[in-house]
Amino acid sequence: MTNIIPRYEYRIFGTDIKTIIDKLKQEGDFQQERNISEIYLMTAGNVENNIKIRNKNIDIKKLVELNRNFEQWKPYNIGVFPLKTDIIKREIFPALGVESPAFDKQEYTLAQFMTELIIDDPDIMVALTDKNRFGYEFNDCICEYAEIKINGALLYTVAVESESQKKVEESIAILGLDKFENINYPKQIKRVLGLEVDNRISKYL
Amino acid sequence: MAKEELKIGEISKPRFEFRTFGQDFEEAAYIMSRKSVPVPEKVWERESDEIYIVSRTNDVNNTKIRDGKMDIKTFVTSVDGLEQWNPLMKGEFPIAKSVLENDVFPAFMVDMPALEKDTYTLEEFLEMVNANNDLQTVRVHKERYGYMVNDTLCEVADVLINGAHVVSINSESTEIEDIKKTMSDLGVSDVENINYLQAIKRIIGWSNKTLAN
Repeated sequence: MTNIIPRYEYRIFGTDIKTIIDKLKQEGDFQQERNISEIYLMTAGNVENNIKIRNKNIDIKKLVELNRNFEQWKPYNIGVFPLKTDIIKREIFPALGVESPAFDKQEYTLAQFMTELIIDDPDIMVALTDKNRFGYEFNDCICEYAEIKINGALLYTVAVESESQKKVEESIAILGLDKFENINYPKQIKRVLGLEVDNRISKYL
Repeated sequence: MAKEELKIGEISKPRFEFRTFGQDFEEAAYIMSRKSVPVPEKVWERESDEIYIVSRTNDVNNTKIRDGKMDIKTFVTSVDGLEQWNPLMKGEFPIAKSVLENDVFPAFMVDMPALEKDTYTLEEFLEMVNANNDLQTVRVHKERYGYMVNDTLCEVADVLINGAHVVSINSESTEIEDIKKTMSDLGVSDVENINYLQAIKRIIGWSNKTLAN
């Protein structure tokens, strides 16, 4: 596995955060646009691991620290499909927090992994995401806004990240993110999938 | 047989419906707005918050709760891809145990929970729903814009499903040919008919199908 220095991240999601996006566009230095399709694997019980597949590569980000509402995630690259069964058993299912299924192959292609091990497991939910990401640099932080479709439904997100918590704190105050809840991708996807009880349902009662 | 004239807001015989969900129906929405006859002001723009209850075990009963009232519709038939749904039951909270036993849980097609009280509040009912792995509550916020094209009731809607945005368009009528003409006029004849239940299941990951665009 590759070790990478963990970064602090503050991220917000919403359908009405245009003023924040406009502020980032105005204040930040545009870097690049990227269009990315990813598969997130979600389970109700898992809150510490962010498991996603992009271009047949699966990686897991582990939540290593939660400090005054700032999250620090450490990425681990698991590998590219086809993956050895041993790796799937040792790394992926424990991270999902569900029991490993019976394996009948030595290794799995992505298609085999999804159809034979994931889709029929009632404890694992799949979120197909399409992200249109716009990267910026601002106040020595890596920032972005993105349009994201989660199983086809649209949300906007803005994020600030840095190895320095102080820089993240400064940046979110300037851009106005601090008025919104810090939500990471897995948590937001869980809300859309209904895997996390959302207290905003009280508005509907 | 002369066709029944549809009047917005009035009860008619069961209607057929085309509805779909996606991100981009801008052109269809524009055509809908231009071809529409004037409609009553009350349907120009409507906003509502609803709770849908989806069941893993069936796609034939559609349950939603709005303003403390529960409404279950049941699938009747599909003709040329257009769906007809009829009301199965309407109930208000607090709701009687007998209604839950005889109508509501049978419509979900899941195991009946132990019902120890005579009546249940909405909160108590939702607790039972959330305790069942085959059922799920889904928050749905709708902003609906009503039109009438080719004597069919039409709408464009901005819908938030568990907070995430999709667009829906529909055309409904007792007359199948009027809906087909409307779909053709709007340029959506080849677009998949996706009802609310299906759209919700696709978004929450209970179906591996995608939305229309």
